[in-house]
Amino acid sequence: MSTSVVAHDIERLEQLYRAGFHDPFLDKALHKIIDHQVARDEADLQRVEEALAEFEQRYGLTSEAFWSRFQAGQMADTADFMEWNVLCKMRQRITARLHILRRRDPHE
Amino acid sequence: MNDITAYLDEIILALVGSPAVTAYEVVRRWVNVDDGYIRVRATLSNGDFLEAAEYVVLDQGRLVTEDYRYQWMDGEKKILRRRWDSTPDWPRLPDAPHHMHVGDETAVEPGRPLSLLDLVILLEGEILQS
Repeated sequence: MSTSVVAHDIERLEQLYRAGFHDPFLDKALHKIIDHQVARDEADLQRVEEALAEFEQRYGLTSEAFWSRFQAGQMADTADFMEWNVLCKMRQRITARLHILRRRDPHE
Repeated sequence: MNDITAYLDEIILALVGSPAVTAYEVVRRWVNVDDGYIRVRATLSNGDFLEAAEYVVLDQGRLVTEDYRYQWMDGEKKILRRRWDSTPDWPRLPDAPHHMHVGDETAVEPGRPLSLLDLVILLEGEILQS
C-alpha cells in the first residue's frame, strides 16, 4: 500500500475524531498501533546505540564529535567511518520518529 | 518482510547470480523500519576484491540510496582499481558528495549516486568484457 493511500486513511480518521467521533475499540486499537511502533523503534535504537558505543570505544571519539568532523569532510572515507556515519543517521531517524510517537500534547 | 528487507535480499540474489562474482560474504546487515544497511565483501571472477556498503532509506515510500562506498581492488588488496563513495570529503567537486577514486586515493573524479545493484551490473560490464 502506498504512503499516500495510508496518509489519506489517517486523514479520514482525523476528520472523524475532530468532528467528535469516539469509539473505545478504535481508541484502543490506535493506542496499540502506536505502542507497537514505539517498541519496534526502541529495540532498533538500542541495537544502534550499542553499535555506536563500539565505534566510540574503538576510536576514542564521541559519535557527536565524529559526526561533525565527518560531515565537515575532515574524516577519511574508510569503510568503518562510512558505517559509523550510517549508524549516526539511523539514530537520528529513529529518535525523530520516537519524539513524534511519544508526544502526548499535539502542540508540543 | 518490509521493502528494506526485500531490497537487501535482492542485492544478495544479484551477487549470487552474477557471473562477475565468484564468492561473497555479508559482513553486516541492519534492517530498521524505514532504513537499512548492508556491507559485503566479494571475490570477483578475475580474482579482484570488492568491499561494498550501501545505506538505503524509505522516502515517501520510495527506496533511495542515501550513502554508499564501493571499493574495488586487486586480489592482494594493494592496488585500488576504483572507489565510488558519498563521503563529503571532496565538497568542491561537481555533484558532491558523490565521487569516484580512479586508480589512486588522490585521483578523484565527480560521481553520481550508485546503488549496489547498479554496481554489480557495472562490474559485469567491466570484468566480463576485459
